[in-house]
Amino acid sequence: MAKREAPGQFEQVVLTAVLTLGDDAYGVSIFKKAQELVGSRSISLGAVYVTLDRMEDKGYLTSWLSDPTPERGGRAKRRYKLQPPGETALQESAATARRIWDAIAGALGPGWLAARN
Amino acid sequence: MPHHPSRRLESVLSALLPPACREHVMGDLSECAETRGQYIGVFLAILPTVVLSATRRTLRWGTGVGLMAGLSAVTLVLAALFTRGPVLPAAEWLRWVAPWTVWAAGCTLAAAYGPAGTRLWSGGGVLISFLLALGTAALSGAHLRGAAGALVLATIAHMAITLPKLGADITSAMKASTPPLTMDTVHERARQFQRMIWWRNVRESVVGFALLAVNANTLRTLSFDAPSRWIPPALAFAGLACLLVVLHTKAGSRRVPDGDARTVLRFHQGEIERQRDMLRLVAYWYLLPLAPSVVVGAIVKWDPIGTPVALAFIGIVFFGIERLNRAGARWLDRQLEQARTLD
Repeated sequence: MAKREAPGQFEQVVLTAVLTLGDDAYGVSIFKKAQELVGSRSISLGAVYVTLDRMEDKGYLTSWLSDPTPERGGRAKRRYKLQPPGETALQESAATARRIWDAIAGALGPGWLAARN
Repeated sequence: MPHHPSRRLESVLSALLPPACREHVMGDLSECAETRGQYIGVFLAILPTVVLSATRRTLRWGTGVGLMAGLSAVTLVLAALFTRGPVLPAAEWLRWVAPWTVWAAGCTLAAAYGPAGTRLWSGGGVLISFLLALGTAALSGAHLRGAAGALVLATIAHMAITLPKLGADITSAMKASTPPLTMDTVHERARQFQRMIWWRNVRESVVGFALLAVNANTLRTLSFDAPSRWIPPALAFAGLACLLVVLHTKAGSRRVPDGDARTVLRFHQGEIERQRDMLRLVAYWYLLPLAPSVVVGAIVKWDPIGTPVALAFIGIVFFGIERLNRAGARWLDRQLEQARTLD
């Protein structure tokens, strides 16, 4: 089986949002969670949709339409769920981030994060 | 407080979205926008990205866009050689590249705007792409009839190759992509269903009236003392007129009644059943009225090679239309089953 490409930074953000939202992961909630995760940087709903499509094509996510609700003008939500390959990719990304964190802390000293803030 | 746009604005904007993402994107917009301006602003920001994403996905799905690009390239090269001679200068080839580029790009978008969850293309998208490609051929100076014939031939070949593979795919994908019906949403779903029927009839009518006008114009210029010349277009005119009458009466859209959810559910069930029956009978009310003009036309203009080939093509197209409508009827059957579970 061909090795999957590692997710990029924004893809990691979206996958993390889906993971943390659990059963409530759909377009708007993922967008809000992703906005929370990226902090002050602004993101767009369109970018979230494109990333979700791409992650689904890679097999990291699965999606389905849920029951329509009157609050959404009778429209259904497309809900997303993280799949095992997505979880693995996210774990690998987190491990890489952890190693980068440790390397920076080693080079700049223990007070580097406080100085950055 | 979420903003609920007017039905007209919502239907205009939703028509611009690829069907694969229409349902959830419109719902998300309703949920997150608080004013009309914000609703439109967010929509305009989203539109290019979701269109690009849908286009990329259809290419990945292997919907035959590459096959169509290849087939049309071959038929256009053949048309160029037949109409302009065996040796062509580089500048002449460029005249044929322009319509091919427009056609290939248009087919890609038509695939992206195809019905949700299927690998079918948007029929309207293909028609617009065809007209734009012909317009480009006219502007670039390519042989117009040659280009039109080449694109039609490529389309027929493409249909013959891809359609037999799509039956099961359409059935399963439609089942997966249709949101379940509930009593809370039955009013909206009944209106959506009627809108879908209304737009289908508008599209069919535009083509139907254009063909009526062509046949009427042909009849106007013909002398009535040569029946073999005026009978085929007269039969085509009558067949098209019959078809359009049935389309707007027995297969027409109806107004959703005011009333409680139970009343609307009954109406919706009846409407699904009526449209399903009309799809099942498409061979009788849609194809059969056109058959006499085809048969008489073939007899009076008999050519030992050309006529059998043309009849075979028409037969394949009629067969394809019948099979597609059967698949549509099966989809409506499942919608009806779902609606009946709410009783």
